[in-house]
This record gives sequence, structure tokens and C-alpha cells, in this order.
Amino acid sequence: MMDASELALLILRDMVFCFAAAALYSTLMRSPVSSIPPSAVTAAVGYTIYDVVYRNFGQELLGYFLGTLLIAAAAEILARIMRMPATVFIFPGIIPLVPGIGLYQTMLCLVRSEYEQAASSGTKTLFIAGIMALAIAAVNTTARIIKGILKKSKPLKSK
Amino acid sequence: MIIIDEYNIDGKGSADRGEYASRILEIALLSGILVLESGGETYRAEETVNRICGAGGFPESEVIAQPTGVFLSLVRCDAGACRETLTAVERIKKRSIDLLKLERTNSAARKFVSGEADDIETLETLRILSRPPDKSASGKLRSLRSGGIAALSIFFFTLLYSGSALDAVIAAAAGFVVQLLASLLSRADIYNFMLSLLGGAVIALFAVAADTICLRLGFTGLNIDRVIVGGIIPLLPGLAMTNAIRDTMTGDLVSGTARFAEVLLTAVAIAGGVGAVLTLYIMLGGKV
Repeated sequence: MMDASELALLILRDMVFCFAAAALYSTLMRSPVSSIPPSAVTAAVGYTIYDVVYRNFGQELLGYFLGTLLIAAAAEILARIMRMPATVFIFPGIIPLVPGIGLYQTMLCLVRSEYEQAASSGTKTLFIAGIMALAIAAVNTTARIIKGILKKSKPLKSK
Repeated sequence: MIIIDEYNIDGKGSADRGEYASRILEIALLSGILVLESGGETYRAEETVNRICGAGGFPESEVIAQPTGVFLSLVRCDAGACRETLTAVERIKKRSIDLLKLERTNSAARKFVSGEADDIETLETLRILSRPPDKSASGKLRSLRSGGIAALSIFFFTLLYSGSALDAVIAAAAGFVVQLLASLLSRADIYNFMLSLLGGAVIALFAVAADTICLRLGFTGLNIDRVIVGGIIPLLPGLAMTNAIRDTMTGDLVSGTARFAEVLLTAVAIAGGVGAVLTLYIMLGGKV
């Protein structure tokens, strides 16, 4: 077992790596320059949430869900503040969490005709991608509902 | 009940009206195409088109957006009865993630809907956005730059996914070469599938070559697996997979299935490229 300070240092190190990787990757996706720092910070925080939940509670899927939930929520808020589509913040944000490697490993197992392993890692990958999509969709729907309520509660201005 | 004359085409002759309608048609179609081309979600493309049609005075219009094309019917209603339908179809050949283009398209559409920009201005903005990027003088420098950025990004990703510093350096070098190859081959209009296959093979080649050299030098700190996983990160369709599921969830079943097919094929191609090289390496007596 690691002691707390060692673990904190490890998490901090991963956050720095994650920030740098996401910032550079969003440059590859041609993000608008002003959106890169906030989306890289969201990426790092989201990944850390996943990491902490996974490490401390052993719940991998829950980690993915909560991490993505935070990234999507931050993206919706940033989208309102900076007047850009939420997608501009969601894509770079979820890049470190997205199960690309699982997908690759599944296919590699298939290529090597290790079907049992392919089935298990394929199912896991599908569930991860599904739960991340669910988190994004949940935040998006909530944002729409809130937007609808705010619009309704405002008295109609002179038209 | 909506009557066109309530909108900003008051007092114009029927020729002007026809011109106006075809401008709205082009604005709506272009914005839908641009959203999909730059990696936007299908529901976003349809929503954008619907808003533009509504703001332009054609709220009864219908649109179907798919990753491979947009179908749009602009319905012109007069005194509550539908008089005329203008239809446009456009094929989408290339899709990539270009968040700047997405953002610009979105803001152009928003300005048109809110009335900040008129139809002629908006059409001009969208036409400029839909022009292919110039491939001349600065092209080479740009692909070098994006190669460098990809390499640095891979470096940090490899470290994040528990690779050693040496793994990260080798993966970054491989990623740099693959990125250069990608921009070289995108000019030759090569299929995405081929690019993934080639990319996977090149990265695996880098990994086994580095491994061989390290073993000759009596050094065992290199992990082939980590190098490959780090190097292929920009090629992997993880984001596309999440988007495919999202599309399916929002009811865009055709788009979702189509994107899924693309994801699976890309992943198979990458794994095939890597697998071929690794198999060859093992046959020649290497250890993975």
C-alpha cells in the first residue's frame, strides 16, 4: 500500500500528463485557441475523478460515468459562458477516458483468434463507451430542461 | 399558420422570392454539411438546419442528416397551404474532427437565426468555411507542425497510460512519422481504412525495431505493448465509438449504425496492421 502523500503525488503527476496530452490533442482537433485551456483542465479533472473512484472503490464503470458526467456538465457551462457549442469542450475533455485502447485490444485478440479474450474485452469496451455516452446524454437532456424552464419563467418581453 | 410575407421578403417580386428561397436552401444545406464534416453530432446538424429554415421563413421544412449526406426539403407555404418544395441533396465524402470549423459554422448559423447577419452575409461566410484548406506553400510546414504536436501528445498519453519515458519517446517518434504519412496520403485521397492499416503497421515496426536495438545493447527497459498502445492513440476511434452510441441513443439509428461500422472497420484495420508486424516479428524469433 502507498501512503496518502505518495498517492496524492501520483494523482497530481497524472493530472499534469493528462492536461498536457489533452491540450495537445485538442490542437490536433483544431480547437479554437481560447477553448483549449478550459477543456484541458476539464479533461484532467475528469480523468482524476475516474482514477480516484477506480482506485479507491474498485468501480471502473462508475468511475467512467462520474468522470464523463463532470466533463459534460463543465462543457455545457463553458458552452454558455464562451458561446461555443458544447461539443468543442466535450471532445477534448473525454479523450483521455475514451476506450480506444480497449477497442484495439479486442480487435487484436480477434486477429490472433483469441476469441474468449476478445469477447470479454469487447463487452467491457462497449459498456464503457455506452456509459460515457449515457453520461453525456443525461447532462445534455438536463441542460435542455433547465434552459426550457429558464425561458418559460422569464416574462415575455415586448415582442 | 405561417405566411411567408410576414418575414423579411415583404414587397419583393416572385423572382426575388425564388432567389431568396434558393439562398436559404443553400445556407441550410451548407451549414448541415459543415457540421457533419467537422465531426458534429447528427442531431446538431439537423437542429441547425431546422433553425435556419425556421428563421428564414420556411418552418415546415424537413431535413434528414446522415454521416454520408444531407437531404433537405425547403417547403414554401402561402396562406397556410404548401405551394412549392425546393429539394437539395449533398453527399459528404470526407469527415474529420475540426472543432474550429464546427464553432464557426455554429456561430454563423446563430447570427443568422438571431438576425445579426442577413442571408447574403451568412451564405458568404459558409461558402468560405466550406472551401478546402489550401495545400500549397504552407502545407508542408503545417503537416510538420501537426506531426510535432501529435508526437508530443502521444508522449504524454504514453506516460499517462503507465509507459516508461523511453516507451514514450519511441511512441512519439512513431506517431510523428504516422502523422506525416497521414497528411501525405490525405492528398492522394487514400481510404481511411488503408491509412489505419498502414499506421498500425508503422507503429508496430517502430516498436519492434526499438526493441531489437535495445536488446542488442543489453537494455531491457522497453515495453513493446506500451509503445504500440501509445503510438496508435491518435488513430484509435474511441471518440467515434462514443459518438456512435450517442447517435443511436438520440434516435438517429441510421447514423449510429453507420458510425459503428466505421469504428469497427478502423479498429480492425489498426489491429490488423499491428498484428501482421508482430506475427512476423515472432516468426523471425522475436519476443513480444
